[in-house]
Amino acid sequence: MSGQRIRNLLFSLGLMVFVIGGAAPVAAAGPDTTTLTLELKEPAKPDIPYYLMARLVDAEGTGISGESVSFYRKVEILGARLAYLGDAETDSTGVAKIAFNPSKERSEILVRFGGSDEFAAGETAGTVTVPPEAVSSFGSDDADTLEPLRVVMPRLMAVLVALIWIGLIWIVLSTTRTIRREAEGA
Amino acid sequence: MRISGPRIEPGASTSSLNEKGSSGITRRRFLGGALLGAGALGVLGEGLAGRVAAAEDLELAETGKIGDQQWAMVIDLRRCDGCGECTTACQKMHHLPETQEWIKVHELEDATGGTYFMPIPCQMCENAPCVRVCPVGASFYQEDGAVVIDQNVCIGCRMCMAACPYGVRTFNWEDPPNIPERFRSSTPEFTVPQKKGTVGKCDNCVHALREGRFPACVEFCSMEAIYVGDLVDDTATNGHDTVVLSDFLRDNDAFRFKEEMGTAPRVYYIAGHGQDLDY
Amino acid sequence: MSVWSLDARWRGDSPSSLDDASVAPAVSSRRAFLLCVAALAIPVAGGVVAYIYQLTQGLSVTGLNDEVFWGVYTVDLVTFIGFSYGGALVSAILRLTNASWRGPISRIAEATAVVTLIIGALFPIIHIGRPERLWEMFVRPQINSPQLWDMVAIGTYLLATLVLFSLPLIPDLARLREGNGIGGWRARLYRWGSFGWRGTEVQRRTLNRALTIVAIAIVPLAIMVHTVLSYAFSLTSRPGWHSTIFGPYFVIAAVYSGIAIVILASVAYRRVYRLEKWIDERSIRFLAYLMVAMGVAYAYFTFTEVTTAGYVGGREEAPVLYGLMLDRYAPLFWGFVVMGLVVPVLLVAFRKTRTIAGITIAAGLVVGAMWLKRFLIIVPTLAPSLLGDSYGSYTPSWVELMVTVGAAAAIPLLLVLLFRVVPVLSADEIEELNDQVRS
Repeated sequence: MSGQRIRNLLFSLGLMVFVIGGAAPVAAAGPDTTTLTLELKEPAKPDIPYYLMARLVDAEGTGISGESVSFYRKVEILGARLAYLGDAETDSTGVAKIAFNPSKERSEILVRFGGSDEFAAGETAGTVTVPPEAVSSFGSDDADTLEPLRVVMPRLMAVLVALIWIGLIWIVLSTTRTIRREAEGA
Repeated sequence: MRISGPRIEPGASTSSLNEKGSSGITRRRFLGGALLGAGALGVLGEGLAGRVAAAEDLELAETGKIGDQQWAMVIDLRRCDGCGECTTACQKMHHLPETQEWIKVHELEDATGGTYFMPIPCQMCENAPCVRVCPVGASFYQEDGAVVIDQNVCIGCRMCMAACPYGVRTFNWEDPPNIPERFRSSTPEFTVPQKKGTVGKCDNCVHALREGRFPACVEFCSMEAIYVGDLVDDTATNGHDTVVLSDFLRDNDAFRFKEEMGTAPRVYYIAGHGQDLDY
Repeated sequence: MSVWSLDARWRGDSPSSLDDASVAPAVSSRRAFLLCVAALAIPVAGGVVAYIYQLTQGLSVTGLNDEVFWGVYTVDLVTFIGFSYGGALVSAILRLTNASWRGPISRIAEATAVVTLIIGALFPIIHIGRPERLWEMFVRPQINSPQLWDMVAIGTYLLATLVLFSLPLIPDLARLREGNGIGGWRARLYRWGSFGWRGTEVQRRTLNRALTIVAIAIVPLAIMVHTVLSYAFSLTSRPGWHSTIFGPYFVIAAVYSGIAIVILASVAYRRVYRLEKWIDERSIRFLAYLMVAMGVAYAYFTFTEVTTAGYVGGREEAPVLYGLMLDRYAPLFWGFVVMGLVVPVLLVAFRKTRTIAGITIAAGLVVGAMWLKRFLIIVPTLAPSLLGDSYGSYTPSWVELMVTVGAAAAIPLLLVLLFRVVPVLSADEIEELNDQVRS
């Protein structure tokens, strides 16, 4: 059983064990050996996204063009999982790139080349780091703009009610006291 | 005054999550959440391996740790075939009578006269009307975003049922039938058994999520139409596919139910009518 | 009332003096009093038994369900508290405007306000699923809740109506200190409750000032209470409820039905105790005019309410309005319009029917129809599902109906008990007003 078959079996089981540190796919006998490297291209100016760039080269170090490379992000949601980021095709220099929207400062990325008749499959994992200001978390930003009113209004009302209670009780007490005073004076 | 029926009040029934601020509502913290490592979650294998046996065998969960997740849900209506497995699984998990459907599958008509199925669980609003109207703060936000009910406090006035724009709340007119012995106390995270005279609703299976398990509806949807998502990590999974939440929603024109209400739900829908999909 | 006609003491003759008239119910035959109490206590006891049954069984004994989860109890809550509003407002406004015809009916109005409010205040407790947890509202109040503010409003209003009821009692109780045929614990109460009133200049000034302040305060207070009561509905996003008109709509409804209750109580006491000389027809007639004015206003509000909702006819409003006016609830709705708005107004409008009997019938119709109207506010909104794919239904159960009948019977019961102790006419006020008229 070749290493590739074992690997494929593992994939098909869906068991993702992220022990592969930097790079280095296992060489296989049949098709040509390939090497995948990953890098993060930072935006030259604001409003341009980050790009994840994977370079696929053959044994001689020449870029392989026209092959599809898949990008994943390692996530922890009810267990370790791979979130699919997208596919991209390598260009003439062997580079495939996709826009990347970092949701945290450090993201673990997995790049996978499924292999073809000519070239062996391979994958590489790496950690990309972005500055904190580049992190964009998904979530609704419809904060409750009326929150201050919800805090203030009922409390104002409570003060008003307290004043009404005090006022009513005071009226009763002062009135009966005055009436009683007159009675005693008699 | 005392009404009949079991009224078990264990000391720890109301968890410390229920500590309230002066507003009476636990403030939800987004992103700034407790800095517990995500690794605290139990690791499940990919795919089917993580499926636990059957929902009714789930033991009462010791409330797991609150991670730094903010839970969300995506329901892909393109896949929903209206089979109602989510409803049944939820009822088994929470030991509900058949009349109570915490995730109800509605068959609705679209503009062209066709129909589509729409499962409606609690929408887990970030600006929840039900939380606001509760006179005793029995409905409140969990740290990880779920809106839950403390049935040990609820006085059963049903104001929240009137306030909810989604009609997802039900009242416990009777004691729930056939509750196994081991379920003694109802906690906000796992309201089993339902308490008579109080309001119940989808609890987002917070108990399961905190243990790294799937909500019953997600796990038992054979169409894999329901995703559980994490807004912080921007991911969602239905147990089979894992996607980048924001991309998934944007690429598929997701919407939130009754967006115009301003309730900011955490449940997203992808419009559809059970069409064949291969993606 | 037939019980009373057995009472030989008053048959045919009217009390000879104002003081006699004011204590007529208190000194009438004990046997008749007890018979009357017993007759009224039976339905009240029935209501209590039904409620105890509900306590043991839970809310499943009601006709409520997950679609229509508020029903007759909520209707009763709004209706009874509405009754109390009319009493207090009539008394307060007439006092402020110094209307000379208010004298004979002010005590009955104030007492009705207190009594109906006490009964109405029970319904928030009756309608909740866990009444034994009511204390949670005090321990952990959630200050944004309309339900909580309902309770606060009812409590505040109860205090205000009690003050408005008890302060004018002081001079009247003082008149009874001398006896007037009543001894025992009641005499002791009169001595204590009159606070040594002698009618001196200072005492009079103090009391009048206090009453003016309370009367001024109670008008906005009553408006607030009834607006807050409507919040339980209008602060939700439900079609048919989520409407700014609900505040004033509830206020007008309350005054309308409240005046009707005051008319019924006044006519009953007038008839049974032969107080025609003291509670003159003019006072009843003016009350009827006021009632009709409110009725017309309410009719207009109803028109406005359905027009704003129906003219646009949104996807959510339309089914509610359709059910209310054209479909399932249409007979009830149009029945309300005819019996609750048209007939009472016409009865008072025509001189031929503008008799005590005609006015009493009109008031009776208003009381019943306004209960029905509250039902029509609450149930048709809840019945259609929010998704528009199902339609819930609701039939009140015998428990709910018995509790309602019991509560309704509790109004006359409490009034009979109350006027066995306190004078039914505010003799002091009547004399003061007569002096004003003469001078």
